[in-house]
Amino acid sequence: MSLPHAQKQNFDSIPSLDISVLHSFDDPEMSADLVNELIEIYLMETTRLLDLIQSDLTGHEWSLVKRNAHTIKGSSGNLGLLRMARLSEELEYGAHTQDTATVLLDQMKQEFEIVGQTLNDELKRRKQCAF
Amino acid sequence: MRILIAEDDPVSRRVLTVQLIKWGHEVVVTENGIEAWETLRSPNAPKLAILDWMMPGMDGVEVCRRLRQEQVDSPVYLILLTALSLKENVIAGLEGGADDYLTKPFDRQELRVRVQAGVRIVELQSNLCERVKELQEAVAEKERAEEALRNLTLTDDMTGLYNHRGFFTLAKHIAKMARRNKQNSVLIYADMDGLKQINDNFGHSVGSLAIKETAEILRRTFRDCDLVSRFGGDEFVILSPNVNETEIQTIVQRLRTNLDEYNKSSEHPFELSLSLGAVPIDHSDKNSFEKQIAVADSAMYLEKRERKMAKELAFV
Repeated sequence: MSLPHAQKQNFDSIPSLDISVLHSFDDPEMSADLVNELIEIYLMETTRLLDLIQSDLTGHEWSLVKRNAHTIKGSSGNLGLLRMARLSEELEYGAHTQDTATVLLDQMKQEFEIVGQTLNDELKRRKQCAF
Repeated sequence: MRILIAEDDPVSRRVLTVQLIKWGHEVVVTENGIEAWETLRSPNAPKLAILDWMMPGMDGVEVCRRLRQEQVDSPVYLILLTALSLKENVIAGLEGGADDYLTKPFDRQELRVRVQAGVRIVELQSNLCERVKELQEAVAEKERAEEALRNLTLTDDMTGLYNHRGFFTLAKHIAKMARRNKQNSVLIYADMDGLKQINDNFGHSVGSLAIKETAEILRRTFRDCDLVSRFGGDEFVILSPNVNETEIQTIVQRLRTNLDEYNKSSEHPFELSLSLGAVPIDHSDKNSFEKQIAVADSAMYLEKRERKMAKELAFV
């Protein structure tokens, strides 16, 4: 792909994960597996939404791009995935051209790699702890 | 309490569900606005709903707006869930009909207290609704009792004379006495002349006055033991026991004289006049009162026609 490079914003200063948010779900009164369940739902749903955003961006379906970015923003925020939430917010409100949106989507995908790794590690750790 | 959640994001949906169940609520989960709207309009719908603002199909504000357009006894308490914490968005949401709002990602303590506030309001509202229903039922019960009482009453409100029901109740008794004592009676059907003109010329309140004055004259003319009744409108029926056929004309004449005197001295703008049909009832007569009244009615009608013709002739 040869895209004219839009200005890439730097979101590195925002922490990828605020782990305290996840820990806040570790309430003894709540379902013990809630965090595992939420992580699994999140990973599956976000994979699906990122694919949708990719195809809607190609099809110039702006309102759908914004909608799905909004949903990712919400679910990321719920799990303390601060950088992912910030990136999707930027895509929802700040992306005014196809180029900036494409650059942002790439950044979201990269961030999702990191988030996926972190969350999967967390999943493994929790499952080990459970035994 | 049963609470509806409308949220398209599965993570938020799950967190909300788990939280609310943990706090002892029953949860109805929907994934978009249309589903939420339909659920909230169905019978026995949850009375508290947490609606995400941004949803495909129909957004949360639109759900609020549509629900508020419908008239219901106890409206559902609506909490909007929004990532849009901007003041104007909050205002737009509340203007759309939401009762409260929560910003995402939500703080669980805030969620707890806002839901609590909602539950409190819903409970107050439902108590109020029940109280209103109780009162409405009490009022309806009172009206039914009054209606039953009216059906039992024997007298006519307007004139204080006996009514149709009162007449038949007492007439049967009087007939038995007459039969036993071998006394004859007279039945008189009296119909006011020209009540319609009085109503038309002076209004219905004057018309009512004319009816009351006629009733008063009848009361004065007849004896205490006579049964004077108003059958409705401008029709009166009188049963006089212990009257022989030869005395009927005297009674009728007395009534005519009283009417004339009234008309002479009255300061009211109308004249009172009655068409009368009087039939003697022999103590051995086995005919029903309905039949005898019909005979008296026909006699009255004949008289009314004669009086009308005589009046017309007088003008020629």
